[in-house]
Amino acid sequence: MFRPEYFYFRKKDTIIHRLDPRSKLVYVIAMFVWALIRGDLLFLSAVFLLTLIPISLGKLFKNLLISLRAALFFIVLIILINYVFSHNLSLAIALALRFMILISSFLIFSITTSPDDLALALYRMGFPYDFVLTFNLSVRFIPTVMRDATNIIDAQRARGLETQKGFINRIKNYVPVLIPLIVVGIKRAINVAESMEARCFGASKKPTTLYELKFAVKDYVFIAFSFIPTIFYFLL
Amino acid sequence: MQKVIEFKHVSYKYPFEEDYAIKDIDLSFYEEEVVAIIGSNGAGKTTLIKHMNGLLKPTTGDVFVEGINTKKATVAELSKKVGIVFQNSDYQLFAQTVYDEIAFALRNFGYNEAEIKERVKKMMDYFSISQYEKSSPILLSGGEKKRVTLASVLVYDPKVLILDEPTIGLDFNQKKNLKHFISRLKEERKTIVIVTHDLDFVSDISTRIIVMNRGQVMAQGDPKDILYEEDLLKEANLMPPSIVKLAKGLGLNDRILSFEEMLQKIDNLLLRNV
Ligand SMILES: Nc1ncnc2c1ncn2[C@@H]1O[C@H](COP(=O)(O)OP(=O)(O)O)[C@@H](O)[C@H]1O
Ligand SMILES: [Mg+2]
Repeated sequence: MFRPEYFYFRKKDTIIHRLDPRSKLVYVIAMFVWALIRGDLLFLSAVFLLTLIPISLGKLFKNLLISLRAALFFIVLIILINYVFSHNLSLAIALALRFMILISSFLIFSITTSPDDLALALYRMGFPYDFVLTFNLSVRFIPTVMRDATNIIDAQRARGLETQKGFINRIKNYVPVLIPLIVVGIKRAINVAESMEARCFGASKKPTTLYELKFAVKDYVFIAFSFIPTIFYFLL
Repeated sequence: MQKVIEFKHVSYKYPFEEDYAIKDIDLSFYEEEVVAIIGSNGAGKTTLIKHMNGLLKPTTGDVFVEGINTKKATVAELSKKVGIVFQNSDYQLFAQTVYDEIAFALRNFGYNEAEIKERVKKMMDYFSISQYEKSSPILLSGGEKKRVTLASVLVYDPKVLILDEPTIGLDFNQKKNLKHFISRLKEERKTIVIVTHDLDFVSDISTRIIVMNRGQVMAQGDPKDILYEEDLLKEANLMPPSIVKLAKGLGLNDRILSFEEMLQKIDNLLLRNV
């Protein structure tokens, strides 16, 4: 089952958590580029192994294992399909590794960056405030909505709703879960909007922020780290 | 009295959380009692009751419902015996009409339509909501919604009825009605468990009180003993019921919890002073 909490921000105090979100954003984009730029086993293995350094610094090994296990089906599928069509095992494994690099680097970004910091980073990068705020709110409310969903499923199961039996049954049984989820969601949205307006949201086009982001030495180091695969690129 | 539900050294930790939400719970619930589980927010009350119909299975320890280990039964099987009405009505109301909402559980449990009709009608009468039979439950007022959710669980006649924070969002009159329903159920000899931090509501209807704090059972016993323990309640972050404050303010020595008894007492005091 898909569990968003594996990918969701968790507060912890590690050097990776303390990095500026902008440097982590650079890192993810760089990693995505590295993952796609070449398709050979040696290079991609090196890049994947390199992502394990921030994973271990950020104490994310458990999250990575859980995510890889959840993605296992797709990893196997990628290997199988590519092998069947190309008869080239090392290529097939390389493509699976590419997928794993995407998972691993995205994890480093998403689990260690608080939605508030990310929103602030986007704002400082010139995105309009309304956009940033909408984005931030939708990310922030993920855990709330998840807890709503759990509570709704529990309330319906307590009245005999079967959520485990059969495919058709499962789809049919979405109705008693989705309707309360939407109703509760809309009510919450109205509440949030009202309380924001009650506190003068929109009064200033360029609101000030509570914190300021600042690049530190570690951020420059981390960005430099994102470009280490350049060396692999020319050597391997 | 017959034991209905038993907790044996039950602890539970939510996935991804560091701490246990409930720790080493040992409790029993019997036929025909009205138990109040009191405790402040986050004390673990809802987590505890979700073990009573198998929605949560203990991380360690076991829960037995009429002797059956909840790990070996489905939620649907257990729910037939143990009905839970959750705090937030919006978390369960979904049907197009009040009738369908109340019929939901019966349909899940496979009752035939004739029997469903009879039972639903009876429930709507019982809770005076017949006039809303064809209305959307989502559009009702807070108190009416609560009655629909109560009806939607009581309709299949569970042996144990659990109410999670039933008074939240209800006004004075609605609370009074709810209390009236609970007294009627008490006469029907059901086991009733009321989870709340509203001590005024449970002070005169409960036969036993369980105090929870930080995932553990701090104390349990007769309401007169528990509700007059100021230090205990303070430690559990709870406000004593007004009737207890009144009794202490008047300097009474008796532990009074019922309104009628208190009136009698005050009457006597006044007579003596005349
Ligand atoms: N779905 C959940 N996931 C993680 N933690 C939870 C969840 N539900 C409750 N908790 C935590 O478990 C503890 C007990 O909560 P709960 O049983 O809801 O207490 P109460 O009902 O007494 O207010 C709290 O610390 C709460 O934050
Ligand atoms: Mg609760």
